[in-house]
Amino acid sequence: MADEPHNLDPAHHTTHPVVAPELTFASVTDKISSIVLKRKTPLWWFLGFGISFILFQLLLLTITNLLFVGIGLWGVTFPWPGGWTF
Amino acid sequence: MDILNFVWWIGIGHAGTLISAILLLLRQKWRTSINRFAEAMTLFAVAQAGMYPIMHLGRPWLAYWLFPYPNTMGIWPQFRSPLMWDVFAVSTYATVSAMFWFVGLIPDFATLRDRARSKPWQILYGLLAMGWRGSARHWHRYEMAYLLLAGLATPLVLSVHTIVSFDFAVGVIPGWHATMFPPYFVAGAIYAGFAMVLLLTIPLRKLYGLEGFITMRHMHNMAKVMLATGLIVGYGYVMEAFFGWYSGNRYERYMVWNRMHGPYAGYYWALIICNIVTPQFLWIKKVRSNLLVLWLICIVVSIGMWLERFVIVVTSLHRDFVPSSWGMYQPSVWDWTMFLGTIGFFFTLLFLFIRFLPMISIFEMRTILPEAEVEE
Repeated sequence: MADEPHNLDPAHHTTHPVVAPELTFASVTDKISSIVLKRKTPLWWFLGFGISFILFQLLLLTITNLLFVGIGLWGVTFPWPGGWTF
Repeated sequence: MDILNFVWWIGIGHAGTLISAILLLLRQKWRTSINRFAEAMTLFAVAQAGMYPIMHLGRPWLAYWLFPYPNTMGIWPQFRSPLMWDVFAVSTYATVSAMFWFVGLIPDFATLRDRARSKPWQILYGLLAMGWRGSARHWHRYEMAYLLLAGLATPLVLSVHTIVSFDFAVGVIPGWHATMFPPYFVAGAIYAGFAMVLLLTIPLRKLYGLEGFITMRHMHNMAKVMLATGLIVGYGYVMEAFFGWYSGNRYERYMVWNRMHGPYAGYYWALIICNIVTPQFLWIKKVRSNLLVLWLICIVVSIGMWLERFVIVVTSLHRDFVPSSWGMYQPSVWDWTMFLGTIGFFFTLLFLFIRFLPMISIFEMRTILPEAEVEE
């Protein structure tokens, strides 16, 4: 209702902070640079990178095959745009 | 399938520049924790997208013919072809995004140079830092260059997907020939891009313990952008159906009917569920606060945006004006391997990026800390 006063309690309007209040110049620099500079790479990184790299090889295989076979690789048997397979 | 994958990747590549450039000009502090990562994602996604037109030529070794270079035969590219427009739009976008990304990294390269313990890394990061010393003059020039690049990148966010939408809109095929396509495509691109940023940010934030850097505020804001752009995309779907009916054109009407009831109707209704119905849950604060649910919604939206492009490309082409050219399209095994391969390439680059480069801008983070506030 228009006559009702607005809720002026600051807690009512509080949103999440943009960054955690305990962060400092030093902790920000330490944390982000340590991800890059620390010697030990986490195991999940190797796992994720390995799977991605295997999939990437699939792309190289496909491109190599495309260069050897041509656009017939996609089932195109006549020169019409779209690469349709009828 | 090449063209729909091209559009899908380009769309994903939109959020980075939007977060970096447009939110910078709008002075949005929350962009700072995610801009570097989103910019990298943009570059890697655009790299995947750029491969498709080249492979689609059938003779990729002649791709340089697309550029207007001086030659003895006086052959000039066909500037009326949307493929040519794509070449200029995508290459400009990739170049400006790469410059923006690299310039943003320079002060952080200097930090890494100063903190690296082994000589090879000191040399490598030192070379990349380009002699950065952090002097007042450096900062002054740097801020100016960064702002100018942001100004340059901002219109590109809109122009690239506008040009990509022209690939379809300048055609006469029913379902493509619509003036609504540019804004509809740009909104879809931002929608897909933010979904991908969230999809990658949520696990990385957890795995690297970055909860203090990428807070729930970021999650809520990105979810809200997704909701807003998802509604624009939903409006686009409704308008497509309306135009089909209102045009009075029998081919347009048939296209809409065919999408909803034809052999690819399952894809159409799946995209409606993925892109319109699912994001409505983002109205609920509890859903936005539950990162697992938010992550699952982002996966659904990413699939939905791929389906959208599939429906636009395939349902319009498989039944065009001439019934003798009608048919069904099934992607070949090699279409799928190429698509999966680009996903692999994208993630390979992304994993290398998070391991060897700072995924959050160190110097920009410092500017938004309470410690950086100056009392006047």
